[in-house]
Amino acid sequence: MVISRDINGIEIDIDTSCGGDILLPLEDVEKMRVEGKNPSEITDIMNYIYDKKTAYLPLMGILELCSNCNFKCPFCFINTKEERKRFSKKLLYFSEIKNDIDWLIDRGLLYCIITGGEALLHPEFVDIYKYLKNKGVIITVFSNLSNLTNDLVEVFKENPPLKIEATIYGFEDEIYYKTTGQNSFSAQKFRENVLTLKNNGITVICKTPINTLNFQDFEKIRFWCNESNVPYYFSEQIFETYDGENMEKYKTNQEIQKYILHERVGSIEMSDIQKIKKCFSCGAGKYGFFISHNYMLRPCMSFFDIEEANFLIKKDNISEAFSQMEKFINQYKDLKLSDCLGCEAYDICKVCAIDEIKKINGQSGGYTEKCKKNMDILNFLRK
Amino acid sequence: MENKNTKKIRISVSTKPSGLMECGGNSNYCNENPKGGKR
Repeated sequence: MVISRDINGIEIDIDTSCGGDILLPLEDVEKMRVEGKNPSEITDIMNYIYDKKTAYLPLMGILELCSNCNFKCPFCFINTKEERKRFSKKLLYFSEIKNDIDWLIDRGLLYCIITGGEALLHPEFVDIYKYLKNKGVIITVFSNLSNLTNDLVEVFKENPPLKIEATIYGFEDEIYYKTTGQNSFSAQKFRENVLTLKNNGITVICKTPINTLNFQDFEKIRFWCNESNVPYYFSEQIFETYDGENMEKYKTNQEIQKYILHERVGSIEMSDIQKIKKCFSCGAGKYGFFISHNYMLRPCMSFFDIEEANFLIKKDNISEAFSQMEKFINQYKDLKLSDCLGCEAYDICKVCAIDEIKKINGQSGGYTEKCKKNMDILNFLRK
Repeated sequence: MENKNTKKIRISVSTKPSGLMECGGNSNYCNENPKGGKR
């Protein structure tokens, strides 16, 4: 089935029988190429659509369908003290968000990442997924695959996602169980489920958050993914939890971190772009948004601990939340990052509006330490 | 492949890793410079 959409004046046909096949006007494809954009990169497509208006458009959203997960990974940012005490039932219910989804699609929603908690545990996952898919939204699903059933495989076969990003926490069962805080779903079963998806023509990508619990299995995981022809990526980064608990204790030692970082990024040269960074020059300032399991809207998931960046979506009034968020973004948009020196680490720099806003509102004392770490990384990778 | 009736061309959107782990950033999305770094 082909869904014809008009997104910011551009006629885009979405072929829902494929995961990510779209038909773009030849004229627009040629313009994209002239502008140095790659028509098959989703971020380039969204930047091109945004550039036609240069006002915020909700083109890409992350939907955190639920906070609950059958895994209890000790280092997970969503595994808060509150969550550890009880199995949370916080969910985005389809009946509650259906009108919101319609509103978003009317305004251009083109690409959606569905995540959790564990998204496949959501009792209405299939309804929400198929609804988005049949409206012409391109979808990526994040999952641990523990809840993958034959019925779900059939759903994905008939309504293919762009891809499923599956987290592989370990290779040996002992490591896998320790890392995931459960022992009812094995590493072997995970790998079988990855291959089931792949053998059914569903694009699947594996990824690993590498930490003190599972770094021993990194090479085994990478080898298996290579052998199985499954794309793989990984990160050594660990994030604090939603309720502010520091998870640094799960960070591997510096030697391992550097090894992982080098394997992830490769060697880089210093940037030929040296300019002061500005707030919201990223996707969040143009077309991105995040909706949490408790109906909070924010520019991206990393704004979770900045109160003024979170907007409650009241029933059937998503437009108000977006209007508030747009005002918030515009308040800071193009503001220069006050601690930024415009250094040669520009290309790898992840300092952003979040750091500047936290400095302004007194949540942090600045981010010069973060800048110093960027330079350390650059110097290490340059060697 | 060009569709002569609609003057549209079919594009397969790249399925490369998002770079989004459970949290954190994707250089294409977070960084103004879409290349994110020289490899």
